[in-house]
Amino acid sequence: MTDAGYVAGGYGVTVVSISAYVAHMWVRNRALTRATATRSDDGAPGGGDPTREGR
Amino acid sequence: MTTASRATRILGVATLASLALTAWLALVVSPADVNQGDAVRLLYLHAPTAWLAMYLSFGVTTLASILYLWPRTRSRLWDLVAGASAEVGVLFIGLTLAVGSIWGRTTWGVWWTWDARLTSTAVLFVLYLGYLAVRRVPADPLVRSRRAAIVALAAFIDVPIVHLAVEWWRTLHQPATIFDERRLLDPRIHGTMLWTLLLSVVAFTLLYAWLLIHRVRLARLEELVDDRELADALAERRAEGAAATSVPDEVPGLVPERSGAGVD
Repeated sequence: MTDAGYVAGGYGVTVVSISAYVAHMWVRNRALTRATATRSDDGAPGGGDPTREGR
Repeated sequence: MTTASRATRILGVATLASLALTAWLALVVSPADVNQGDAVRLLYLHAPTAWLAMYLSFGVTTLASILYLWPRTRSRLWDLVAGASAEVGVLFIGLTLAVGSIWGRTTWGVWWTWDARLTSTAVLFVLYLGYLAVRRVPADPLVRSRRAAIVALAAFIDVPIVHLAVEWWRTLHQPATIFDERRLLDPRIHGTMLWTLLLSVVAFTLLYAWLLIHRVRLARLEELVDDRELADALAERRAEGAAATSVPDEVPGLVPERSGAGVD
């Protein structure tokens, strides 16, 4: 393999790893944000509006 | 509630711009080395990731752990900062090892050698993986945080060993290019190479700040959801308990029999 190939490999590994970590955080953030929003809507204990009609 | 804010968006844009500029300088503008050829371009990844992981991430983890252990400054935030910074550090120390291995293959001819610098860095990687594992061991939150903080302080002992390994032992790894107090004013590289390396350090430092802020906010969000789930579970248990104690009065089928027995 040429030097350029090793350089491409090094930059590729870095970009993929950082992107994967950021994507992982983004997915987790989205799931948790939805979970907190849903709980607020439900009026579940600890969050939201427990006095909402029908609850 | 999300982990993003106006400040983190601005920081994110600055990070992306500086990383793009670094990539352009590193891959296009910066010249090839006389001895190493194009392989020297890996320097602009290897050195800043090592700086980010070893000194910045694990340094912040240690500082936050000390602040957590110190009774006057103890705060849940310091524990979250320590954990988040260690997680980012583990990612980047892994990248340091991976990129270093690729660089070693093209300059030394081997992917790995049991050199003092390489081995002590691999030990550092495993130590902080262990730290992250300790943070996940089920325990009382206060006990777990204190235990993790002590492990963080113990793990940081390896950082000066990694730094000084190239001086203490005869190693294949080269001495420090810039991060050496004797070479700060007289670094081993000059011109475009030096400025590209300095910019890459700045870009990766911005990236660290962006990742850390998001990871800490994510950890707070995780705690919020956990607290709410615990509150839900407790409320369900209380409701079940209340229902169980009031069954004789509330089950409709039982009422006529009891009242009927009274009439007869």
